[in-house]
Amino acid sequence: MEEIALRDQDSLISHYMGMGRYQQAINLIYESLAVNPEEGYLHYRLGLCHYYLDQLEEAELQLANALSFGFDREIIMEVQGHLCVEAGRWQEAEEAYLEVLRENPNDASVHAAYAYLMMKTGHQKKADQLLAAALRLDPDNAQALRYRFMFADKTREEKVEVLERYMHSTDSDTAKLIQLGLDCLYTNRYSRAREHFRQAYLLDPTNQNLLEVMKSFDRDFHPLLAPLRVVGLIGGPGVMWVIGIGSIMGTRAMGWDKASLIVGGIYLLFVIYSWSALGIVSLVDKFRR
Amino acid sequence: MDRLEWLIELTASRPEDAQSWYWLGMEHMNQGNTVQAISAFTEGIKHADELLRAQLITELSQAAVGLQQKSGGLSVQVDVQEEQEELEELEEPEELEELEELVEQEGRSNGRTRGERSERGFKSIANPGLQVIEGGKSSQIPVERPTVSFDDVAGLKELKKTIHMRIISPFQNQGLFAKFRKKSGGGVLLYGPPGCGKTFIAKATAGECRAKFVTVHITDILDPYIGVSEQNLKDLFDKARYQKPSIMFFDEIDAIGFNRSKSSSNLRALVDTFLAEMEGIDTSTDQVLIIGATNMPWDVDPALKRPGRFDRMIFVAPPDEEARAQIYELKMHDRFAEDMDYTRLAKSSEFFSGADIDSVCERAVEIVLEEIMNTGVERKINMKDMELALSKTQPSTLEWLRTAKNYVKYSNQSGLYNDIEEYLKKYGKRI
Repeated sequence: MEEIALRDQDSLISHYMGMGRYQQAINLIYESLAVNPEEGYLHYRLGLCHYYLDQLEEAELQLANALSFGFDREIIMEVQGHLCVEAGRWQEAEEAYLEVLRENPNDASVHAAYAYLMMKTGHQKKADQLLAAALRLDPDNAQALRYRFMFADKTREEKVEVLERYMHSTDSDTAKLIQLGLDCLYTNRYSRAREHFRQAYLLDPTNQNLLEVMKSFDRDFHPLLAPLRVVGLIGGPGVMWVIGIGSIMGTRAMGWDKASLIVGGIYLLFVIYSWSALGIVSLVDKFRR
Repeated sequence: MDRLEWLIELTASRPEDAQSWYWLGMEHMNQGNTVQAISAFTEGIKHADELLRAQLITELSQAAVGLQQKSGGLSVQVDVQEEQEELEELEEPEELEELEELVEQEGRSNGRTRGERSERGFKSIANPGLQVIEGGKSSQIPVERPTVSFDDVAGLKELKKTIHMRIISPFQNQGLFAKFRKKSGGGVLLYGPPGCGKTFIAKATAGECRAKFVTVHITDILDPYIGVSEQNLKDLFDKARYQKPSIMFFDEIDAIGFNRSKSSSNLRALVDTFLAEMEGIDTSTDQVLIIGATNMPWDVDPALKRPGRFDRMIFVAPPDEEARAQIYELKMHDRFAEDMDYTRLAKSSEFFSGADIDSVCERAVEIVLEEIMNTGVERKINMKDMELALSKTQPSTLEWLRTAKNYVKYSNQSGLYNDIEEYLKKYGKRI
């Protein structure tokens, strides 16, 4: 492959990676690697693609290759840190982030990623400090704003302020819609939350996580499940049990045997319904489809 | 006075004498002055009778080819015979003027700006050899005249009918459509699972329309330097406009017109250019049809799906049973095989794409070849081999159909994907 062809190929790889088409990018990277097998940059990109596809082992292998072929250690260690967080290897992740920060202490994204690691491992205070540092270095850093909105303990006004700032960041529309959905979910505005998640799903219909969220919304807010939602509102199945048994006992104690039988029957029907409601909903949906 | 000077004087005194121009051109050719020869032949064409005209055109073509060979480097691939035919069709004085201008241009210095390329790119097609310096990727894209038609597309009666109504009829009955002020150009987006023949259908459509067919892929456009991708795209549209009636086919259009809300800023500029060019097609140029094909219609920028751009969306579903039987027959034709019940095979391969069926046939052949290699006994491919291969192959369209099913469930308020919805109503229960 000539130099120009390789340059064009590289541009195509960047294009597909920019679109999130990592599998297509991987195929092209392998073509380039066939010509330049010792090009560290290609191995790094390959590792990155595998990381985005959740193929962590392959990603790690390629990052190691990139390192052995002399690609920038700082860049590799940042991805290595993310990868270790995904794999639950907290200590290694911290070491990787610290190594990057030693080289480049002004990297806001790494501060944010390190903050996320601290949150995950329960070091809330350190996480807050790291997030504050990230936002001091780059007040519009999307990642830092997202974590601050999601995890930092704040008043509603502060949350809204962070969300507004996040909306002006360069993060993707899908990520922004998810944050809006989460905000609605935190404030019990379910139908608006569903709409935000729906919009996010429409931008990325291959995202299985978003599809699951949509399905769970449909399940939880199905009209046939309205009685169960009422039970939830009044305090859950325990309260319902107390109300049911209390009514039966009460009517019996008052000598209203007929009423007691009716209340008992209704309660029994309700209990059976609450056990089988999810199955009924699935059947109805299947039939409708 | 030498012969050349004498001929120059002769043509100056008798400019209407085509024969003099012919001899002048021939003399220039003998002396290696190709550009002057072309100029003389072109002048001669203006005044020639039918017989001499044909002779002049032949000489002109040869001179042009000679010039092209001399120039070397990147040159536009032109079929001389085809261009000769095109030149024969030139009867309008304007076209001759254009030809003249072209010769003059070539005689001048060649310091030009990039923006001039597109126009020159077209002109080179009208006159072989006169335009040879094109560096852009777009100049390397071949223009075909597809020979395939709908007869070559197996089954898919409904789809063919839809395309006939929406695309071919407007193209072939322009008088009628013009009366109703209905444009025959514009954009059509073919979408559907991979391997179901979108590209082939686009080619067949061009064949039915008897239009030139320009296939464009992201690799033909993309360039690492800022602004060059946009220029390449613009050049391609210019090329299509100059060669109308033409069909531009954008394969994997989601890679070019990717949703801007999900893309980087440099990709946005490309989509903006695409939108601007599509607008141009809609408002100023009929007879240029843009066909896009994609597996991921949801990744195409919504602005591209609005009226005036790709306003007609056609769902290319996996082949139906009849089509599948025909594809099997086509793929097994001329192979060393027994008579087979293709209808039965088609019945057992629901949701299989054309590519999947091809894979089944190849696998069956491999099974038989492997057996022959092991036993040394030669035999024909039979139904059992096909069924075995079929059992080992999964339809590749299912994943796409499942995604589409969920997508339609949450998104089809605008009715954009009614075609998929109709299809899913029929087959969705088995997906």
